[in-house]
Amino acid sequence: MQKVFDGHFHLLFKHYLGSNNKIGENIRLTGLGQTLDEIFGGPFDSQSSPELVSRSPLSVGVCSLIALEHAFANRILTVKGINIGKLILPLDWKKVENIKKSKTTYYDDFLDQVNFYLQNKVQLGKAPYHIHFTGRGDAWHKLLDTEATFQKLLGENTKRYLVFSIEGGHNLSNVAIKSKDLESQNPELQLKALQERNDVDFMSINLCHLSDITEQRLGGFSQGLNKSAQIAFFSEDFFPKVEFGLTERGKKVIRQALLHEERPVLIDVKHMSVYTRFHFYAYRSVLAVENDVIDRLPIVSTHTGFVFTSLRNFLKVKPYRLGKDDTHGYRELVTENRKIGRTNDKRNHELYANPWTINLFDEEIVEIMRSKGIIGISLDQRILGHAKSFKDGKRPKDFEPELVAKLEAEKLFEKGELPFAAEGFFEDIFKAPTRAERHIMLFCMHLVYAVRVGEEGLPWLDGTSPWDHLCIGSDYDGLINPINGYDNITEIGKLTKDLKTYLPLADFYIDDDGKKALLYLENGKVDTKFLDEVIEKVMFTNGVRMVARFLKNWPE
Amino acid sequence: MITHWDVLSFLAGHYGDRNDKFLKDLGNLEQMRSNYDSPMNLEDDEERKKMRLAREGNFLFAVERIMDSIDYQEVYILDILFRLSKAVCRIKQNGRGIGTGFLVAENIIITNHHVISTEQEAENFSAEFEFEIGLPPQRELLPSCEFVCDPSIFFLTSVLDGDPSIPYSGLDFTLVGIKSKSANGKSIKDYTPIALDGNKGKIIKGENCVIIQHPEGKPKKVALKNSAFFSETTTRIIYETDTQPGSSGSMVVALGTGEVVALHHAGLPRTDDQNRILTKTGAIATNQTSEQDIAWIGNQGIKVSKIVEAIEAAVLPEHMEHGRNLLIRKTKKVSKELQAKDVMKNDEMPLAGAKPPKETKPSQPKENAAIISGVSSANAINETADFLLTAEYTEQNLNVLQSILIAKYGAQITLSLSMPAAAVYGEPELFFLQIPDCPNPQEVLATLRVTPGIINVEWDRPIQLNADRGFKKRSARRAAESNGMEESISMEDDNGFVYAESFLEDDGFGTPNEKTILEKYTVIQKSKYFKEVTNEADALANREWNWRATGFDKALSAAGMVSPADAGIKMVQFDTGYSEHNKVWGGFNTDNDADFVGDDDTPNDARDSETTGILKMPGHGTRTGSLLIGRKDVAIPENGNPGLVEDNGKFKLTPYRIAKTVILINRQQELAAALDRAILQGFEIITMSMGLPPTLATARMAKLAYDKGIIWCSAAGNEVKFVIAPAVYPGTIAVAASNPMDKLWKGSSRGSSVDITAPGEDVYVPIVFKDAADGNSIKEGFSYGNGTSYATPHVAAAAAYWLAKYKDELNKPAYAGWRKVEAFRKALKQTARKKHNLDGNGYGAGILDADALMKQKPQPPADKDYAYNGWNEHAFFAKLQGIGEIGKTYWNELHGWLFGKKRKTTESFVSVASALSEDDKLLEAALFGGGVSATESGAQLSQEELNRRLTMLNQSLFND
Repeated sequence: MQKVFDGHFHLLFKHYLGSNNKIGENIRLTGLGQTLDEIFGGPFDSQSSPELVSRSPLSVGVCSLIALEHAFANRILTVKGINIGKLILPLDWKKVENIKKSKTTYYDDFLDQVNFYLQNKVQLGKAPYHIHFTGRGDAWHKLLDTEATFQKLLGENTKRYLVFSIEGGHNLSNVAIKSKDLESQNPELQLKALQERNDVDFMSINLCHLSDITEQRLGGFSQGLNKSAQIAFFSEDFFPKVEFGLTERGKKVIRQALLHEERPVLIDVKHMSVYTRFHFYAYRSVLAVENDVIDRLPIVSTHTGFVFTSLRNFLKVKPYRLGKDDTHGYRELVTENRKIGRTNDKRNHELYANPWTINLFDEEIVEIMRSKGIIGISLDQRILGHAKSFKDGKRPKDFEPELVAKLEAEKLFEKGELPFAAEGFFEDIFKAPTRAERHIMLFCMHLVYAVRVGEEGLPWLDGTSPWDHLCIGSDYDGLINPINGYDNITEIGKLTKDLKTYLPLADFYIDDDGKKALLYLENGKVDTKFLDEVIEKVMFTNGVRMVARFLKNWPE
Repeated sequence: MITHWDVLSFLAGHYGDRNDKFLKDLGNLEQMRSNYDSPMNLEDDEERKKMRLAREGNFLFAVERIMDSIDYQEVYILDILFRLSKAVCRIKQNGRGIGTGFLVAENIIITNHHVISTEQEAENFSAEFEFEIGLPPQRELLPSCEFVCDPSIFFLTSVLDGDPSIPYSGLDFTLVGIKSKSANGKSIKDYTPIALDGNKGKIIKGENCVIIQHPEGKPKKVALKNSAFFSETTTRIIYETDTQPGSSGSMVVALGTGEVVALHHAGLPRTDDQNRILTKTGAIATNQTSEQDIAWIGNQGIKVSKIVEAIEAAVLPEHMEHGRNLLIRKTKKVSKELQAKDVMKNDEMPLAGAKPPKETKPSQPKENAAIISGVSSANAINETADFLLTAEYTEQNLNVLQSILIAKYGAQITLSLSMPAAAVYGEPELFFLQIPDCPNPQEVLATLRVTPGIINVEWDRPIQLNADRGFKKRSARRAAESNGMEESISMEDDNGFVYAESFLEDDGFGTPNEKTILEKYTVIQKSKYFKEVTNEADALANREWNWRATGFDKALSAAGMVSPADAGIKMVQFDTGYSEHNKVWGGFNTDNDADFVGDDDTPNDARDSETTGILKMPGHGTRTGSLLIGRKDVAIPENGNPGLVEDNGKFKLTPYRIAKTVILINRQQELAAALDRAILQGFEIITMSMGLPPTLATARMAKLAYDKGIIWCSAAGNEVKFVIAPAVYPGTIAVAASNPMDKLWKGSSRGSSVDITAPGEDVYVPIVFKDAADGNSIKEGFSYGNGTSYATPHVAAAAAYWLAKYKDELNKPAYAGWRKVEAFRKALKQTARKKHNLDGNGYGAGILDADALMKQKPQPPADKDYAYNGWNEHAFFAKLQGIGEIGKTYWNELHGWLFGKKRKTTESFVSVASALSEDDKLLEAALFGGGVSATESGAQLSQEELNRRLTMLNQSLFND
């Protein structure tokens, strides 16, 4: 069975928050709940519970821990003033209320969740799960002296190994959630405390998540929830309003994360606003001048999609309109729908990327690869570009508007101030996948696109290629709508087969002056050996290598 | 008055090198004429062409006229020219006509600086209107009207010979007020002023201009022939029209638009390769050469756009703000109108000579008239007024409030959260309200006070800042020097020691004073921190006396000290921005700096624009910042006094620019925006070496910062008898100033709200000065200066070290929010040095002792320690709303007394009182009896009386 690496998913998030926290059981809604779950794209049912994982090919992965944000807790599934959520969602409402009513801190809730994982550590290690949390502190790593040995062990072992990550800087706030008066002034101290724990180790942290943490702003975040999700969890805090790049407080967290002598924690750029991401790349280079260690610490984006253009080109061509109204602190960015491929459906045939700036631009793909980092392609259909199914392939001129914090919007999209980028790309379509294949095609196009951008943007030594920096970052149980046919982690194994079919197609559709992401034989056919190799890399070995480097504490 | 020959000599020297360019442009003009070509092909400024077209009502006709060869235009241009001519006056000195000017606002005229040069001599000038010859056949001199100049109403001048380091100098204009009644009893209101339009596009090269003038002081003439505009410099236009001495200050009108394009300045002579003026025969001209014999290239006029920019940029005393508003309002109005025009939205310019596209819809003739006849319509335009108000931040309340405000003041009002990042939905929050075209802000304020939904409100008007200014007036000194006199301004300290008023000049330069200070503290009196200088080490030690006075020398060498840079302590400075002075170079954080000064093009750059360019003029932010991040080793002669937290350049101070100068804060909203950003960014310390009178907005800001746990170190105030805001509020840390004798600085504010005292008198700070050797080149150096501005950074530095050392402890919940501030205050006061020579009271717990402070572990404050316990917020705001506007008026007036008005070389002012509303006058009478009001022009309150009244107001506010 194909072993799989998943760079970003949540194992016990729903159990931690659930009224039934028996880890052997899945969260599954029934009745009205089931209907609602389907309406919202299936975010509420388990997608990567221990039970599902036990039936999956997952071998190595990054398990992300996150405290529920106030913006979600404030009104889960409150429709027209009625808290439907309370009626149908099997949640531990006391926990939710504690967050909603500021009775706890995010840091405390996060620690509570860490404890929940640790409490279940023994059980998870047993059959049928065979899930083992690991980190740089584990003694057995010391017996293994090379990265290759790690890979071998992790690859051959029947056990499943998970390392932890922290999703969102809010997890570091030590003042009452949504406090009116208090500020979390030193989140870096909470991070430091986590870095110095012996029982748990974290590979990366996202500075931001989906909402504005008013008591502890670390940097601008991208709007991530679309309209339907906003109906379920309406809160003003989902809209970035006052952000403007990395804050001084955010820089303290980054310094703490990267410069910890024993246990540096990588920065995951997912969820940062594009302005903040570029600010981060610049700040990282400043840090690198004074601290050599920065150069061996990769940048990661663990569960992302792409905008399918460079930022430089985006700002030059301006395929968008920026709304004038800034009454609420944000401005509306309406970007044109951009075809990246097609299916064979006569009426509903076009494939589009998601142009929201939560996704990566070309320069960032290069920047991450240059840092020897890794890009996890999300299995969230929205992130990859899918819109409502009935009109997905025949869209209006513009994609759904996104909201961008006023100051960032002015600086970036109005004044075009950010001089980075590689040249943009192409598009020429000859033949098409079927309508049913559109989601998997989107996934493959993201892979191919990243490889092209990487090839273009960096020199590659023999034996290396952009394929070394791509993996899966499913975001299962992160309240996502998975792509068709991949509803939960048990189905992820079949991705190998699908990649074999669709990667060559994607490579064919995205024609860039004859440049290809795959290798081809003299007869024009795909070099299947190379194809198998790259699929293996994406599915497993790239991620394993990353974890191995982490466990060896980022060797040169 | 500068002689005509001197003006010509200056022009020859200044522009002689550009003769070739001017002559080439003149040749191009002649070629255009001979080819019957379009002016559009001569003009090389695309933006100007576009704006020229945008000014035309009948687009098709205009384009044909401008681009092709139609020589006629609408007849109303004659009406316009006639009306313009009525605003032109003869400038007389002691009864003799020596120049021309014209009325540009109700009672303000403009002429050249070389006609009226100084405020003093202006009083001997008058403006004579209607000095004209009547219609034939009589051709008699018409009865004229003469209005005496009154610089107390308005005076702003820009010298002929500009200093590149001083923006807007060298524009050779003087704006001066005139009395409202003429000698024969006629009112100035009988004459329509010509509002200046600083926007581009009034004329393009190749188009004709008309000069309305009094050549040689003769009756008014108009030059209509040979008058094309053909060349330019950054500040001047060059045109053909004939003029003569006495035409200086004339109105240059664009014939195509009827708009004033320039202030005529002088003829432009041809020169030889040594920039000597040539005669028509090629000989060298002298001051005896007649005008007719000089070889002219053309005439020069100062661009109206530059004059308007200078007016906008000038820092004026409050009583001149009305005049400024009148002078710039047309520019604003026309700018909006032009931007709305279709042609301005189209990137593509019609090609020269090309016909306009057929689908171009001609605009209505009345639009054209509105632009051209801007004189009368502009008069009806009022200024935008700003207000800060508190209201409950709920959708419902805001909807109601917005509806009321729109109904009253129109749909153009804007109501926005003053501090959006810190705002909490459902709570009372501060809002910023802008009402465009506001007829009377005081009346509106009275209405807003009783508007449902508004808890309290204040008029966000410009307020003078209290900081370490005390400029010496260079212009006065120059005058004194030219009279062979030494400057007489001096002050005397408690020991009878007489010293210069200030080391700072009013043009931004300073004067090193180390020798004087050394004498002051080693000879006249003996300071334990000073010693006679026998070697460089002695000098360095003297320069950092403030380190020893505050125990920083011991603290930093003690074991267990933690560098604020290493601990990641973040500090922001609210000041005038940063400069490139080498003492502070690299010490400011230029990544997350910000500029909150309105209408600035660089919101992400706190650079003090006064300092840009080759010449550097370190501002207030540089001097105060140097005490924190001044580099230790820097190759400046007489270097010394490194920054207290500098740490080899590792510590970065983030500059937030909240004011352009130490003189004035234009809007409190700018301060509010700075605080909002500071909270969002996560700064733990604010250092603010300037202050305001207590206001509703600053009171809210101080409490907000305190509740959030931000240590806001604030200057107690200079030269006033009470503690200023924000230092006066319970939440901030208020710092008074001491001197090397450990005495309270004579100018320091004192009061019960002062927490601590730190060195503020004779503290060594960076300046720039002019090299005595050549008088021109700029040198960086140092001087000893005074102010609570300098005391404040000492406490901010102490806070940074203390937060760094006890960072882990202070991160505990027992120190969350305000508790951290109180823990610091407590430690600060407990460890303050009690052994000193501070007399009386009101200086806080003593002098800062950083060494003792570092040894003082934090103690968790109890609920009872909350600084706002017993603070009746409702009563305070109600009281402040009542007396706040009187307080601001007194404050501005007092600061006019104390610090003088802004005096660059190019500006000088005379103070008159600001007006209060009728309600405030009644309140004033009730509070202070029927004595002299600050509102009576020409009957100002004395400095002492203003101080007394402000102290009373403060006492009533703070029950002090």
